[in-house]
Amino acid sequence: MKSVRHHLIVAAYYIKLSVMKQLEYPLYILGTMLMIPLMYLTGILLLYYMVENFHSLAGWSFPQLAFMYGLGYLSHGVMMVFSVQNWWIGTYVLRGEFDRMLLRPLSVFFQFSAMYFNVIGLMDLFVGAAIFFYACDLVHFEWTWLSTINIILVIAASSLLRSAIFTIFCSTAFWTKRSQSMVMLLNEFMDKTTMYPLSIYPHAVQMVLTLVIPIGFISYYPACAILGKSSSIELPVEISIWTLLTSITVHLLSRLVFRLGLKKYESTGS
Amino acid sequence: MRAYLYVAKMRLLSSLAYRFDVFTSLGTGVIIAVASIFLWKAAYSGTDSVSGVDESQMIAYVMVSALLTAFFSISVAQTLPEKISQGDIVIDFYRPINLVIKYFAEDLGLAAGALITRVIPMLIFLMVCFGVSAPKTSFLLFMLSTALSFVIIWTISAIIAMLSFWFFQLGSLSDVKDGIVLLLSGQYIPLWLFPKEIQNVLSFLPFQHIYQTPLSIYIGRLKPEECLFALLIELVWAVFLILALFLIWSKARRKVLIQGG
Repeated sequence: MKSVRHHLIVAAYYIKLSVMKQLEYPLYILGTMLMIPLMYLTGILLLYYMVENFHSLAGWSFPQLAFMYGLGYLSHGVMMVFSVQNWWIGTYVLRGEFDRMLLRPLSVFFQFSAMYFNVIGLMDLFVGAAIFFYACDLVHFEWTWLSTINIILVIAASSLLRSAIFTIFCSTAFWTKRSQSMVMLLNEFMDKTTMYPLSIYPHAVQMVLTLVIPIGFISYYPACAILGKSSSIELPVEISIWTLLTSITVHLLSRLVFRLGLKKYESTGS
Repeated sequence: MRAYLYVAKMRLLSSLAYRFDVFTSLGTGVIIAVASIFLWKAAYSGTDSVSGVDESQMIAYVMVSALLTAFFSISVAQTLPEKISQGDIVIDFYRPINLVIKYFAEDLGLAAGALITRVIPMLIFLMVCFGVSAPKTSFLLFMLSTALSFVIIWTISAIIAMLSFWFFQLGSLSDVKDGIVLLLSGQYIPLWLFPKEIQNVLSFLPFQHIYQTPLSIYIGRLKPEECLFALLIELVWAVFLILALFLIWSKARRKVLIQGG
């Protein structure tokens, strides 16, 4: 209990410091924040005009697609706020930033996870939430106590899952020293697999996205469950439980990979 | 001329230096192509044609669009603002060559690198896995149109980058440009799916010439005489944007000198 409190206090200090650091450049934050909605608009407009012309996409209507899109981007927003530092592992390795963390008497993974609170990411979160609530309205989502708790759990689990997948893949930077191009690849991959129903892909690809890299649990399976659509791969038992279990498993795995990578870390120089 | 060729060559070689980056960029290109193919296949199931374009044409459209996306690797929108905010731009001013042409040569080198490491492997992959249909009208017209597209997207990127001379605190404006191009150029979604009024407005903007014009030529959506007319409009845009670029550059140069004191 005492240790939990200690971790919370340290995390709060980290967040305070990183927010203050970023507020040094208010114009930069403002500029970037204004640009973010534009990127989301592109995706939702693509879906809208596609359905407008083709009536449906693999049996999904526009409101249903928007719901899945919103769910996917809400988890993206949470990741952008709390764990965007995954994107920069390569830079940290090159600059030897992990030296300082290794010297402190706290888990390096904890320090790494708590060290950055991305102010700009709040815009991602805000736009993602706006799209999500708009889509909830479109599909006539019924807000009861139970369904609300379910949604909150799903969002928490899918955010954790998304961040964990990024941690696993970006930890390759401990070996390769570069993460920029890996981040671009992952972003593109996540976009294409969380925006559209997985059922548009061949069965083998769906299996990979369910069992090997379980991206399907970020938005597709939860959206299927909540909207009452049948997915092409049937899962036993309630899907929300699967989402939760998968995200915790992958999160634990990501800590393992991160720790393995850190063993490979050799500071700067030489 | 030799100096610019040398710049382009160095840029080409440095883009090949990091093998890991080469493979991940290729992976990114393949993901974009494959995902779009399945997306449009799903959309077309149960529909024969929309706006006179059938499924096989649409598949060719997205395949070639993914190849163009890989080919148009343009770095000026990232490197120039960085040089300006770090002050490294001063070193470039010492060089006895035209900087605009130097930056263009750099990106030509980068595009040549992309051709070798991404476009050709992607093309082979797509031919083996899905089959790529040959251009419906003339391949020469498609190549000409693509060359002009490159000039148009490069000048737009360079103009955006030069705005950093005035607004360097605003962060990277190039993301906005990327978003606008993605939406309005037909790179991602063909503009003929938009409502008529929006299409009319867009026809007065340069963006659709970056992707949609060469792609429409490729899939045979334009008749041969329409192709020539489209090429003419592209040419006009390219010339206009080049003039605008040099005008802004001459203003921007002075801005830096003033800042330097």
